[in-house]
Amino acid sequence: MSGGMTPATAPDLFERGLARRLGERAAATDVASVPLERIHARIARRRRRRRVRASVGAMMAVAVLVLTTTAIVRSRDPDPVTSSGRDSMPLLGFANDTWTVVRQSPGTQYAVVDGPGADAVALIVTRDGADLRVGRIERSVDRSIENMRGILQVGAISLGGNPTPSRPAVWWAVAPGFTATVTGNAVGAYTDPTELLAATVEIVEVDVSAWGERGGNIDEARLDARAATGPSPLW
Amino acid sequence: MDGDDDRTAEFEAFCCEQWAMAVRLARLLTGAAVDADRVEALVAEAFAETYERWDGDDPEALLRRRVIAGCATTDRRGRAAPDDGDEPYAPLVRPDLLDALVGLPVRQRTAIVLRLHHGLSDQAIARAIGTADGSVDPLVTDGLTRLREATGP
Repeated sequence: MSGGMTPATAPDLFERGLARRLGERAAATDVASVPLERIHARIARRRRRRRVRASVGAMMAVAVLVLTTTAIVRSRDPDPVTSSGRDSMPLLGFANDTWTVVRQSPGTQYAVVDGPGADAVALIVTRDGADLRVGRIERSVDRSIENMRGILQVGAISLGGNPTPSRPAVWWAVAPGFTATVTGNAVGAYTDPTELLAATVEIVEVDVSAWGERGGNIDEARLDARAATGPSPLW
Repeated sequence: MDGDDDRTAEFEAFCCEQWAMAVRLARLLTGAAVDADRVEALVAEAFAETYERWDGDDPEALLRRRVIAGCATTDRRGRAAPDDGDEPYAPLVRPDLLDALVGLPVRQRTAIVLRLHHGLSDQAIARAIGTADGSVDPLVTDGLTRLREATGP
């Protein structure tokens, strides 16, 4: 057994005695012939174990990959409006074919406009987290939307993050995880949010009577978003 | 295949050369309480582990580490077993020196055996038991002090 230098300090009588006893015990140890077969059997067993571990690891990696992919695909599932699932993307309006789809990203966002004119209204539905708007919120109102308490926000938006002028807009949580925004299709149109909502009648039903009784104050209006009827124009 | 054959032949020569040393080291570290078959099994496992890491770079040191690790595992399992009696251990006579050695913590015991029996340097002992070079001398000194106390003058 080679191993380098011995300790610097010389062993005392006790240590020499212990070393001698260790030597005697080692010499007295019965050493059988080298069991090469036993060693090779252990090598083979360790190799099998390693292969099994590698296989299990690979299977687990594949399983994780499949589950992750499935989860991602499901999270992007467009799930048409006819589905009652709470995570499905809500489709508003489209009842009278006057709306035109101008942009869509299944499961993430879509935008429709109700005509080409200067007074056209645009509706944008986005999944929360999709950075489609840099907003300036003028006021937020806790009020009844979709038969639930919710926040109606009035302010201005810039579409797509482009350096275009901001435009007046009204937006609310149209379904869990989704925001609906209505705005004038032309920059500068519909500076009055009450007019903006009134122009979206195909999409957003406004309780005009209550609204009128209260002087057309948007803070008092009751909104109901209309779901699509018939086949979806998007998917 | 020739490369594998060469490697196997080289390894088997190493086994023949080092087997007795490894068994004796394991026997000194485990004491008489562990039967010969278990000692042989743990040494065979140490050789198998050495073969897996076989790259020709100081295989003797690698084997020594694997034997020490196997003895430490055997030691932990043995000490984890419940005692048969309720009475605390109270020896009527002073224990034999080598029995007392086996009663030391495994790192102290290993450091003492590697220094006094194998004549290894502190650096080699530190590599074998996985500790800092400077920790070896205190381990040996403390172990020897305990042995002296246990076995008397």
